Amino acid sequence: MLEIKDIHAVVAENQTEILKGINLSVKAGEVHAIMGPNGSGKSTLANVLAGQPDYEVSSGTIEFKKEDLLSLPPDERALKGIFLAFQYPMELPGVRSWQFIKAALDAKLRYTNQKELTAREFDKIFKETTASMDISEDLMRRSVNEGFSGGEKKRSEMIQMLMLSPDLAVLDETDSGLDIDALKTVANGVNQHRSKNNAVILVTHYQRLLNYIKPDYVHVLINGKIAKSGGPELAKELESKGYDWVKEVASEKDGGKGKS
Amino acid sequence: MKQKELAVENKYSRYLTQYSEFEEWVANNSSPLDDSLRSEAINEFRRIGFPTAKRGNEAWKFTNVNPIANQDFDFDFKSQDAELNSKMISEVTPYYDQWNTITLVNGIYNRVLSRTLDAGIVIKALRDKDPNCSLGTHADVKSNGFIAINTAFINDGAEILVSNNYQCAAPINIVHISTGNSAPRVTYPRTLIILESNSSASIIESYISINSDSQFTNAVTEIAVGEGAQLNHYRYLHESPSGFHIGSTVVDQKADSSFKTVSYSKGSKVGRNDLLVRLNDAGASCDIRGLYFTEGDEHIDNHINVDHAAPNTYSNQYFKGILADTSRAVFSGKTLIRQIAQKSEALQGDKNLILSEGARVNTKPSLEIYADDIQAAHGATAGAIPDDQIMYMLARGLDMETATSFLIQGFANEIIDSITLKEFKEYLLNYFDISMPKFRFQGFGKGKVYGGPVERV
Repeated sequence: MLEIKDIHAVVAENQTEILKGINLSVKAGEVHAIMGPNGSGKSTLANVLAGQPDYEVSSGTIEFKKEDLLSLPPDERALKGIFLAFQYPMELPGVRSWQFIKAALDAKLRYTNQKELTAREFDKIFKETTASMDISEDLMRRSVNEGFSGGEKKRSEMIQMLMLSPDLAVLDETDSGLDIDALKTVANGVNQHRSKNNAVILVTHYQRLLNYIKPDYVHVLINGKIAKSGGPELAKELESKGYDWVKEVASEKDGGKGKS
Repeated sequence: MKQKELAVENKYSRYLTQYSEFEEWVANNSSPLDDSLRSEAINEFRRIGFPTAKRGNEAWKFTNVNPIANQDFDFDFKSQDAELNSKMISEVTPYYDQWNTITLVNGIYNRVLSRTLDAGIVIKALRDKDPNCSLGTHADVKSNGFIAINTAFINDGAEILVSNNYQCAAPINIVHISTGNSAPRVTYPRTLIILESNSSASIIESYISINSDSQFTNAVTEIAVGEGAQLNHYRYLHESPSGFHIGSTVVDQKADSSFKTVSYSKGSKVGRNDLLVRLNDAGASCDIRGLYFTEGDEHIDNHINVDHAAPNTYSNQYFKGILADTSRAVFSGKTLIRQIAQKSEALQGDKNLILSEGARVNTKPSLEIYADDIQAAHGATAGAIPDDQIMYMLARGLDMETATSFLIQGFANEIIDSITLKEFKEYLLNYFDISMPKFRFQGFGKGKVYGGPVERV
């Protein structure tokens, strides 16, 4: 589904290189966890996949469903099935969640030549999804993320993911700042979503999310490169030994701190 | 005659000539209009003329009225244009059969297009002079030349009286409509609204035109809100983009009264809303909100004055502006808290969404406080559409045009949401949805400090 080949990416503003040759292959049905210390480039990778213009890809290729991804603008990537759950979801003052998600879903259905949902059809699914994420309907009638707590914002991201049902969901530190109940709810959302037809990339600093979502692969990102890959057991090992252990294992010297 | 008066006389001689002609016509037609009020007003106008920035007049610093002062407008006081029907009006402004309606065509009360449904209200044409009428007691002709000239040329208008304790069931719709004319025309809409003690009403004033001429509307509305009375007031300004509009509203509030107003103003060649609210007695509160949209080379100036003249009074001013192209907007909010007005609270805010690098807003909320035991806060912002909000929407598959219009509409919604009159709220939502020009954010990913311009689609 996703083939990342030797991706190098820089911060658009100052051309600082953050990603220094990433290779990653993700197949349908797989859950990949990307772990790493602060500044290793985890979030940059997530943002590069979504087409965030703060970053520029200087070399390498990314294919999504056998098509070149890098030439597509962010909205087309979303329509083709990529979903980024933001580390810091934006507040959209005055834009109702209901209206926003309906418009996004309609755009996707139109793009894939499917019939748009009626307001009633949408409302039914939306209510069920909202309830499954343990968010009050009242909150979702308000402006997108406005005045939401950190946990509510992350749950709102999961509602959007479930509604849009993307082929590839990229969760950028969705677990950060969550209490244990919110973490379980978010994990439930991901487990509810995952299937043999779609793939998930979990970007996380901590191992604890992986107690609730079992990844197929764990990759450790150090200084813009994947230093080590393995199965779920690698996450456990990181928990007990810390990132320094991988840093030592990795032949690459720990260079300057990049922007995560 | 003093030197200064002579200068004014020369510059505005056309108005003075028109006044003589108008006087003669009034005398010949045995009009019941108050002669002394008008003659005082023309004398005042002769003395002060139109306000100009030159005199160091802070209140008119950003709104140049020379284009108005230098143009010859025709005052067609004999006009009885009535070739209008309710369908034509309902196409340009909120207009419903189930509302009390007062229609003034070029300032003249139109009986055919007016109706009173509520039993507890009196609606009169100013030409049918009410002997107890308090016309002219709220809007001071000395305060500015536009009020003076409007008062001097009172030809007709509307008087609305809501009786003691009466709770108005249907909204009262006051439609000021100007029609086309071969020459640029000036109209002087005049409205007097009186809410007696403990009464309540929803009143909407709209100023519209059904032509694209460069007419000049110089409107004055006086509002008296009695003790314990509640007025929900709305103002809809959407005249010709090449026209001129100066609207002055003066509100006097008694004890424990409430005045809530929400305005929508579309810019024009020169547009100005002057609002003065006097909180005269304890417990009076006002909530003043407005939304303005300017495009092309349009201009709109919202000039708001609130006078806290009694203890325990409350005021809130909150405005939002959307500016496109090379348009200009001004927000000037001034709140005076007198020494007597202890335990009062005053808030002021103005936020602007700048869609183009060529657009500019001058915003100045200001507080003048002489009491020590009060609460007050003010603030103003102006900015472009943020990149990260656009990115968030694109990442959900919305195209640039949709994302931009969602954010513009969302920006406006905060003001529109404060409208409790359902039909008016829906009218504005619909207006933004359908009639608002479509824009597309252009600067995405290009500049971090300034989000970049928004282009028309």
